[in-house]
Amino acid sequence: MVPSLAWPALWGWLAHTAVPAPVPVAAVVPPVEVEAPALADSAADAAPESPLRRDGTGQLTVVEASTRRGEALDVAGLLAAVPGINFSDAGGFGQARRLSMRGAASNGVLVLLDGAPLSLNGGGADLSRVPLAAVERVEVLRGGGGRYAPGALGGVVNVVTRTAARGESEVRAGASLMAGAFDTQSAELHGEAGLGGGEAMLLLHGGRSRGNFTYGFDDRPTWNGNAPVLRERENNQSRNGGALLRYRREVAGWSGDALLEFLAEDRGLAGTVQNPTPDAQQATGRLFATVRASRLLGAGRLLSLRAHGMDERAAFRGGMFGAGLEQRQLQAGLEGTLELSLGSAHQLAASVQVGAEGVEVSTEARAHGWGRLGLLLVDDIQWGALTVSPSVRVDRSGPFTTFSPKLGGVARLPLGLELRANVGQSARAPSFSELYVVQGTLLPNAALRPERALVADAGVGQQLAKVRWSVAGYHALYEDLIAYELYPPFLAKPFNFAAARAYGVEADGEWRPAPWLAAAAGYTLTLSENLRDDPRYYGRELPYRPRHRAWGRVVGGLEWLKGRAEVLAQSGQVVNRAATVALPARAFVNVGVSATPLRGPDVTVSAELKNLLDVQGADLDGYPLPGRAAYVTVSIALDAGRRINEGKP
Amino acid sequence: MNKQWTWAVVVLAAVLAGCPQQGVVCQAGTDKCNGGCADFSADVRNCGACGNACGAGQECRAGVCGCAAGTTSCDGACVVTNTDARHCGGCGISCAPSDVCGAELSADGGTMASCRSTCADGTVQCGQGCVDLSNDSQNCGACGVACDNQRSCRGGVCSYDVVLACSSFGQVTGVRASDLAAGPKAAAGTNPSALARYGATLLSADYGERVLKQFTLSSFEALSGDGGVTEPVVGSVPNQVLALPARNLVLVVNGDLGTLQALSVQPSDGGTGLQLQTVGEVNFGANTYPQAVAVVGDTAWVPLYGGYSQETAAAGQKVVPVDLSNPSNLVAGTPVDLAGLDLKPFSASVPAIARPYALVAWKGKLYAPLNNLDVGYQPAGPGMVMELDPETKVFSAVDLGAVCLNAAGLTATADALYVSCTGKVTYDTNYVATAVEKASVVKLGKSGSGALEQLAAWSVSCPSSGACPSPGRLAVSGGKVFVADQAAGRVFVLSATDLSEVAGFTAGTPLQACPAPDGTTTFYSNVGDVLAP
Repeated sequence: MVPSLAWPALWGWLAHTAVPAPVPVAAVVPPVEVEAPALADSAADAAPESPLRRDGTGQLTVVEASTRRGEALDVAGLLAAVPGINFSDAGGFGQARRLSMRGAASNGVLVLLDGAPLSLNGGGADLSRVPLAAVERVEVLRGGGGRYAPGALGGVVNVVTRTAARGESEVRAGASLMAGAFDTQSAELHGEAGLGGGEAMLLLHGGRSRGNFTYGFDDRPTWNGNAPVLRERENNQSRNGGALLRYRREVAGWSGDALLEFLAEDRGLAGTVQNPTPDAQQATGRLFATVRASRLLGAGRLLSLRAHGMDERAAFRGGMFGAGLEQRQLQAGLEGTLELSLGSAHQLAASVQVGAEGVEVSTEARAHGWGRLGLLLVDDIQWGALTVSPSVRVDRSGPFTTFSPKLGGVARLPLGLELRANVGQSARAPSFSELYVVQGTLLPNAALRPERALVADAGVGQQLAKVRWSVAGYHALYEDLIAYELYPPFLAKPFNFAAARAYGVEADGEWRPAPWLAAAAGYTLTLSENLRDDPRYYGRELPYRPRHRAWGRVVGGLEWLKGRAEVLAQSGQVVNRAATVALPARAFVNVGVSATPLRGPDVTVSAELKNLLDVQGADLDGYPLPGRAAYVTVSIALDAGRRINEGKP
Repeated sequence: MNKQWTWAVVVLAAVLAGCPQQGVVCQAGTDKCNGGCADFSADVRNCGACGNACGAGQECRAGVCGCAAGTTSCDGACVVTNTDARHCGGCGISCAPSDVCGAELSADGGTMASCRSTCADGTVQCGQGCVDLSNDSQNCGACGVACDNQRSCRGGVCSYDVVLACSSFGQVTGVRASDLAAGPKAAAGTNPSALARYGATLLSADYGERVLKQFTLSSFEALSGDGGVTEPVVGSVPNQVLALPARNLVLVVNGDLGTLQALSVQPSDGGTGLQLQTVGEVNFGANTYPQAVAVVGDTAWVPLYGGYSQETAAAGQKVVPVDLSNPSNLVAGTPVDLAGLDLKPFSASVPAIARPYALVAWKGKLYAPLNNLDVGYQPAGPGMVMELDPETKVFSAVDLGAVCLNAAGLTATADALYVSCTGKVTYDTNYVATAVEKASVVKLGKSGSGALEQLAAWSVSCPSSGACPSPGRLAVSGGKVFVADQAAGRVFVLSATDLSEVAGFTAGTPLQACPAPDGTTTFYSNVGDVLAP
């Protein structure tokens, strides 16, 4: 008998076509933008690991968190309209949210927190564990992750945390309270001030939810015509809290920036609707720190150093974890980057990364760990309107050596048009979990080989006074994809599965016909195909990659009172390798309004109605998403310079 | 740095990157052939190589064409000396043009062929031979219809004595019981996990596609899906399919959905395949994981395995009656709670959970093998078989003794029950089984007092090389017990009389029903079901 067990591009707010700014280093400024305050200095201000600086020819989107405060409930909500991204949402505030890009699975997307990886061996990071309150912006690099540590097969998501105020004399503070459906509440409190000759920032945040939404359950699903019965999601609660402390200071020509982040979270693991797990729980604690320093070593030479470390502990109990499973993940690393300006049209960046990572699991007699070494060389060469950026990266992760070359180019044309194209390779070594760790019903496989991706993309965009648009196409070839297969009688085990490809189109645009009105829309086409497999699966679409995702949004109103409406739609997605079982298509309509009736301090009240039409959807088989839900957020900002929801509608 | 550096990188990238290999990869045991995959070891049309067809009367064994069972090589041709007028009773013995060749029972119990003027009663004349169309493998059902690919003629239809479902690789394989000759591996959906016979149709519940598929029982040709009849939806863990032709009904037990599904059956308009339609379904509740079904009278009985954890396991450990009198309105009756069973736990501090894993009706009672595990899925007590009286609801359990842990599979013949025991498995760090304790098959019968008694047992442990065994489902055909190995795509064959080994580690070799692609130790190759049609 074979009891079974059981991942996951919408639109950006506008990828605009910025003209390269004449900064001392990193001449190539990528075309980023979102519905956000201008980021004219974004590349120059960005850390060396930021996609804005490291991969200026890539297909990039930047989402400013301020544009969605009071609207997005979490970081996944912040990125809901970014082209090329697909989410798998376990359903409910605080529950797991993992993203996939350009056909790569969630473990093939590298998620960084201020440039440092949030999970071992790259991908698979759970975005629900990135506190929205701590986010200043998110930089999304689609495809072509060849300039990053192994793990960026589908792309890179760099979460940039809030920065401390510039200038010792400024004191800023803010608070926000949110309450809404399913007994959900969250709060944040932050303050920024000059301290000891530098700038300091402290953020405290917390949230909770019962997550007990109702859903329609078909208790006789093989029989047509059976009316679903209403059920309440149980053991879907979550709690989280944390703090972010940041300090910046200039010392002896060095610019220093230190970040300490703490997060504690626990949540129920509800299981599938057919067979819920009322006793399964997960508790996670994380300590994350980065220290960076940079210094100009003379004209056109910038040295950046960074150290980072993470200690994450997770405990699972109940459900299929039986008596319990405790897991501790540790990582630490150093990175040094030297950027050289070799004349006005030629820049070179060399980066060396060393580190170590390991995992301890309570059920394993011994811990697993390995050292890491990464070498990266990036060359930016300008010929008039054309910039070409070749790069090469070599990584050693434990026993695995991966090679990641990349060639990108940008051509800036009249009328604000810009063309960009990239071709490259990236790889991902198997994770410790995949190699060595038994996690409940998931078994390891020490014989796994690294995954590899060959990616090519090309895009065109234009920015005019009232209109911005961009269209990009890509083609990715994946080799030795790692996927879990049923391992009877109750278990699953990862294996390398030959080859697959994903290709598609990512397009978005924005129109601002009047200062008080903006409309934006986007579309992502993702086509995938299994390229090397047995006849059961060969040529089939890959599971959990919806072909079509579309998004539209209208925002209008005065500076102090704005309304918005958006539609997020996606086609059905197959959930099995034979591509015979599919989750249905869906369209969520969200509406909201924000008002700032008081200034100095600014008090903003936002009301959001999610899933207005109460559509039942699911990203994962057996995990329903919440229906209609209302949330209200009240925010107060004691600084007028960084007003929430400021600026264009 | 100059532009040459740039181009050096480009060239280096092109050299080192390279595209992945692409194309169809055939499942283990098959090779590419004419745009598809074929089993060169047993396919009479592709024997040893693609397109290498065997001659008349030949079959393909181990990739070599040879005379089929029951035939004799005469002058380079494979003939049936019992019916061939040119070689009647032996090579070169020809009958007169007016005579026919027929066989009759000899004094020693065999057959003796001779030339004669007319065929004996019970046989018909095909050419110059006298044949029994019901069991003649060269004239099966009609003159000139030969059973190839190791099939037998059974009731005038070429078919296999045993059908094996290779769940991991989407294949089914037929076996001739008399000489354990396996037919070619045939593609059968994605993950066939539960088989049943309905007339001349093989029903296969496919957990990968979550549908009930249909194939011809004789040659495994698809009858459903593309171009065929509609495939009804089933769950992702279809644990058992039970065909009830007398009721025009098929029952499917869906472990993941916690349901028993009833499908009405009508022959399709074209006479190929069955028109199946789900007419009823009953849900036993969350975390019940129903495993099997057996029918007594108008009642279907379903054992509930229970969920993974201690808490959700309590949803199972029951046997539920379902009234079948109106399949479109299935109603579950009051469950028989197995809480009162003495599971004889090895430790007082480690509770044992019964976990009934199969169910058969035998001699008016119901029997279920009990895994008898702790919450961590390790054996907490001996392997057991539960006996339930469907009338009185009285139940008890029989300890299968020192040879059995984790009783899992169960089948019945007229006078015996056969129970498979998966045993206690020890794994290495790569989760490859390194030791198996008390894996076995136990034969049970009824004593004079009516109590269950152990008649024979067969124990198996890990071989000196190769994968450890994991006995699962089993079936009896032709006086042999066919035991599925859930781990390495093998089938062990035992004598149904005394469970002596016919094909195993100590006698012969196990049937390689669906060999794993990498040599059987790291990739599970699950023989999901064994059917004796």
